[in-house]
Amino acid sequence: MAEIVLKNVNKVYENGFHAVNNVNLTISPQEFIIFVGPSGCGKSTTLRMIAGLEEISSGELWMGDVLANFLEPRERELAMVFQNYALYPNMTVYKNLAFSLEIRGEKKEEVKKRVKAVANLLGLEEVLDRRPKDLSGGQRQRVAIGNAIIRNPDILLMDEPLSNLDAKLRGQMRVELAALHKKLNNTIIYVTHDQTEAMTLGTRIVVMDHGEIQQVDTPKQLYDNPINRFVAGFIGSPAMNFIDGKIRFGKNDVYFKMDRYNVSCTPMIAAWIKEAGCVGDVTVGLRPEGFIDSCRKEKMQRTDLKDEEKITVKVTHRELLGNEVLLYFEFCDKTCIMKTTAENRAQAGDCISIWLDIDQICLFEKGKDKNLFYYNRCK
Amino acid sequence: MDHTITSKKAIYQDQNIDIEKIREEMYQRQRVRKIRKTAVRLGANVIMVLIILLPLLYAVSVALMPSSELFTTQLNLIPKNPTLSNFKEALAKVPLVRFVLNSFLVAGVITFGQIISCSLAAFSFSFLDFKGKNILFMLVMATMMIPGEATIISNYLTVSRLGWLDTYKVLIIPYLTSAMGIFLFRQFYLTFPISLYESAKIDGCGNLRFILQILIPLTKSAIGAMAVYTFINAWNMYMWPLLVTGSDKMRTVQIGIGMLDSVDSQSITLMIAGVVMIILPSISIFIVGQKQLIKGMFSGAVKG
Repeated sequence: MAEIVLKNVNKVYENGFHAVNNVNLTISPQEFIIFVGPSGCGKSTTLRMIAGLEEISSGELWMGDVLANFLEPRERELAMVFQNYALYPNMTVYKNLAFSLEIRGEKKEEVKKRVKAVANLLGLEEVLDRRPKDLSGGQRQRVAIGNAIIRNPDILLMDEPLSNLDAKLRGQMRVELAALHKKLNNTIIYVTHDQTEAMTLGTRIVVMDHGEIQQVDTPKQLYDNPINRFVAGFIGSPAMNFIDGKIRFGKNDVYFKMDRYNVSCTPMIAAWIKEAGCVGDVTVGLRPEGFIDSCRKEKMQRTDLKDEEKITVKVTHRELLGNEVLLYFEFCDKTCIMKTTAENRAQAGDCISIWLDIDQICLFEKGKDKNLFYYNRCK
Repeated sequence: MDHTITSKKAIYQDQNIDIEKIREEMYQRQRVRKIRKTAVRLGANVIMVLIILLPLLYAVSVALMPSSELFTTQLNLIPKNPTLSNFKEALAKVPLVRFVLNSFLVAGVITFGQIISCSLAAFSFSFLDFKGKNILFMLVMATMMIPGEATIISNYLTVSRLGWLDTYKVLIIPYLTSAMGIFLFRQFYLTFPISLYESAKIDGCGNLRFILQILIPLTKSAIGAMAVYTFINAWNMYMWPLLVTGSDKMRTVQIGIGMLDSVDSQSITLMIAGVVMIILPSISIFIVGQKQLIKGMFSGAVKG
């Protein structure tokens, strides 16, 4: 099994559109790597270049010690699952599964054995004689995955494979995909715009925007320590809150001035701010769970959150998610969202007291993208 | 909802109205309305069919008349003494059977050839990427703007120099491809999901195999439409066969019909009998293939 290396890979279309801009990435064997980003960010194009369906305008693609730029798709020993499944409608499920093996001239016995094994693995034994149009969405999806894994490819490419399924099936298939990866142990490169899929499936996530890689990291790192404002806003649902404020230096401490409140920093954050040499206008990024209300404060026994630090806000909207609740409120002229337990009964119009969990924040200079704390958290 | 239903029931019961009776009446009214609708539709369609098919039916009827019945002052729609003598005479006067066979051969080979050449050309215009693809396609389309009559002289000179006159070759080869066919297939292929092609490519499937095993089985309706359209066109060819064939051996049916007409002894019934005989194949082909034809012609129009 081989490593895949993309070196300064670019894709420029004939009309001058720069779809993929200088991508450098090393994908190690058996990794489940996810490309995620908004539509048109170049993630699918990158995948198609790896598959050989799209020409690489400049740069190099290495698969092991082979320069794969000019290899035909069939020579790359990979398989791909397409968004619309790409099953051959004129063939039965059995034929669909057997097709790629038959092309390679495998013996009939061997083909039969392999199809049986894959059908068994994916629970398709019952439908082998049916045509794709007689299958449900989930079954079609499974056949598409079966098509891809039947050749035992080293590399499995998936282009938004779950986006045509309904929410419940998607959740189910997600679990199955994760289990499949554990069983088969091949490299999976997976493109999605659904960050739940990205966070739950990937061993590493590549976040792309405007044809450029923004950050490559594990799901947890990506969530806790985004490198820039785009990643911070893109990963996580609901999105991170961005609050404008000012840094003020007191006698012994550092604090943020937000609205009419002074929120003092913990010693660690104060040290990081000094290190970054940051003064004046800043934007503080805080996850929805970074706002702590009195319910959660008690639960988490956060005695460090003092009464004089508390902020009073007016709830404008309440969304119940089951055991959790999202509360919308105006703070610093912006709509912020906090996530808390459903025990908080606040309705729209109520005023509640909250605290900011300063240790969790990301800090951006106003109008700039870079997360100033990225390297501090990397340590 | 539930509440209102029960209350209505209660009202009916109060007023001693038989619900069963009302229900039966409603159903009866619905049935009558349905029958009336069907009858009106059927009647209108039958009238339309009669108007449209009248010339054709009249031709069949004329073919069965002795010529004395046709040339009278009254309008004879139906033959009084039906006879098959017109058919016999027509067959005796010109070798119609040979002409029909010629036409079948020529139209059949042209149809087959056009399907192969046009589908392959359309494949490259829609699935492959190469330099100058669009310009080349526009050139092909531009040939549709030139009327056949404009090129007929130069074509004639070419084939006569090649020594092909009065052979099957000259009837078939110039018509082995058509811009219209390429266009029809290309429009059909453009609605074909490209990911199937890409998937086949990753599976290791070559272009030819893709065409044979996946594309052709999935575009049967386009092929059917194309086949019907081409066959009827080839069957009805007149100018070109007239120009390049000289002997009875090579003539096609349309010219054969022309031969039934002579200035000295013009017999309308005889000619019509010939026409009836030769339109039978094209009509039957159309009846067999009409579903495919309509499906194919409109395939690009609506997605789905």
